Amino acid sequence: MTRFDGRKILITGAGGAIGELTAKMFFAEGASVILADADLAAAQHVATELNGDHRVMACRIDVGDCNSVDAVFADAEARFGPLDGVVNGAGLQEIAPAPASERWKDVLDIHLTGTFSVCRAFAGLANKHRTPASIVNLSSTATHASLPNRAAYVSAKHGLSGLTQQFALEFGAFGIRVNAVAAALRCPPERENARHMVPESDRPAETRIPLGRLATAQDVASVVLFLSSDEASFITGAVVPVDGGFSAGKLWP
Amino acid sequence: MAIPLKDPTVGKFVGRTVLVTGGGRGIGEACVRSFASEGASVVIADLDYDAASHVAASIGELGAARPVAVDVTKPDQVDEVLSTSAQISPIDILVNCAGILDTKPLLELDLATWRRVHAINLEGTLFACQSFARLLSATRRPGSIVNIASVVGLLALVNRSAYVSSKHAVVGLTRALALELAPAGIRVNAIAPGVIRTPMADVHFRDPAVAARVQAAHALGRPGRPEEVAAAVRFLASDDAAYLTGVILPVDGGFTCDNQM
Repeated sequence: MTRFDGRKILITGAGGAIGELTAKMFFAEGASVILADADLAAAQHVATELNGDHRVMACRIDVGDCNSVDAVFADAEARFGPLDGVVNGAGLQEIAPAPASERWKDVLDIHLTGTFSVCRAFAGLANKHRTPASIVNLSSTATHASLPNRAAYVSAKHGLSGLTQQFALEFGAFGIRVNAVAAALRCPPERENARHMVPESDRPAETRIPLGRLATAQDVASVVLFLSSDEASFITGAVVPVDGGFSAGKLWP
Repeated sequence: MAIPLKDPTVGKFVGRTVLVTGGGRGIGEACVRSFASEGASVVIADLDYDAASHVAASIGELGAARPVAVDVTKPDQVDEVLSTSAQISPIDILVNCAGILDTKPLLELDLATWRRVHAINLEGTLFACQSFARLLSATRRPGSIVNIASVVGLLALVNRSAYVSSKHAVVGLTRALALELAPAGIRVNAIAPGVIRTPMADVHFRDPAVAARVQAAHALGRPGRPEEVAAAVRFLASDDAAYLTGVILPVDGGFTCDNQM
């Protein structure tokens, strides 16, 4: 499939597991990809794996800093022209028993305010160009549920649903669709802090998920690509659970 | 209207069989065409056999498309149709599009109409899902069900209490079946289409005042096309949605996130 031939997609958090795979999948379907991450080396690593092609750009972004966000968009546009899509994957996890959250502000700054800044910058540019475009926000099952010891993260992700739907309404006139993927927490063993990503319980996650397994990066990236594609042309304001049925109900009694 | 097949060897649904209830018109027809264009064999099940035949004939060389008559309110008929179809070719994907709309103020709503709307929209979906689940469990095959719910399965509109109720129930049924059929390897999801230009809905658009309100109610400034719903159905049925079950996916141009209208 080459759904993204000639399209230009910016991905924040491109150095993370989902961001990296998403970028690779967009690239494989013909897109030029702008790999933005707080960790420039991680973004460059992904760029290298894509053979540092003329369709790839790696850059550092601090989504908590509007100047950084504006600069990245300016650089991306200067190199590739108007962008067609954005994937907001930048994130920060904090596990802390309430009310001892020391990183409340950081978690909100990155997940919620950072996404706001990126969307605002992108919409401003897209409004000038008036071409159809798409924003996909990487959210979490935490967007409509609570999780132990993650007050800041849950709050930020709840806010992210509201932001997604708000911007779907505001940007529709510019031809920008805005959606979110509410992905289940995954357990990629090769990444650091992997086990922290799964909510604590005396029952293994696999027995609490209807489809009986944890998500993979592929599970999430496939949905991000669908929402970014023309096949989703009438979908906006959707918060799509990618969670193996976790949010459909309880496996109880 | 025939849709040219892009490349018969790379269609995502080559080798798969899809059964679509209500496949004779509207969203159902669009789903039939959409799956056929991706290489699937499609069984077009409809109360109106002529409409189903017409769709099958127009698909032409796209691939196997077989019409079959069924009244989804009759569980024995539904079971018969699915079992017979499965003997020809095991069914991989079930799309429940059969549905009717009814607009009536509450105090004019009679019991017969209430029951008929639920019989088609809700029970028709239930019977097809039961037959499908029975068939797949017997052969231990994985599968996928996509139910066509509606945005009015998520929020209400006035003067449509039977329709709203039936679609809310389809949403609930989708989630319940998702949990229950997960161990069997059957994913169950639903689309919540918003305002879509279909024969069932088009009668309402002739009034310019209504058309203007429809436009204003959508972030994207327009109602949807049946093909756009069909594309989302295809997605939910595909391997790209391998980790999705129990999902109610709005295909509504932003209708459900705007409470101002």
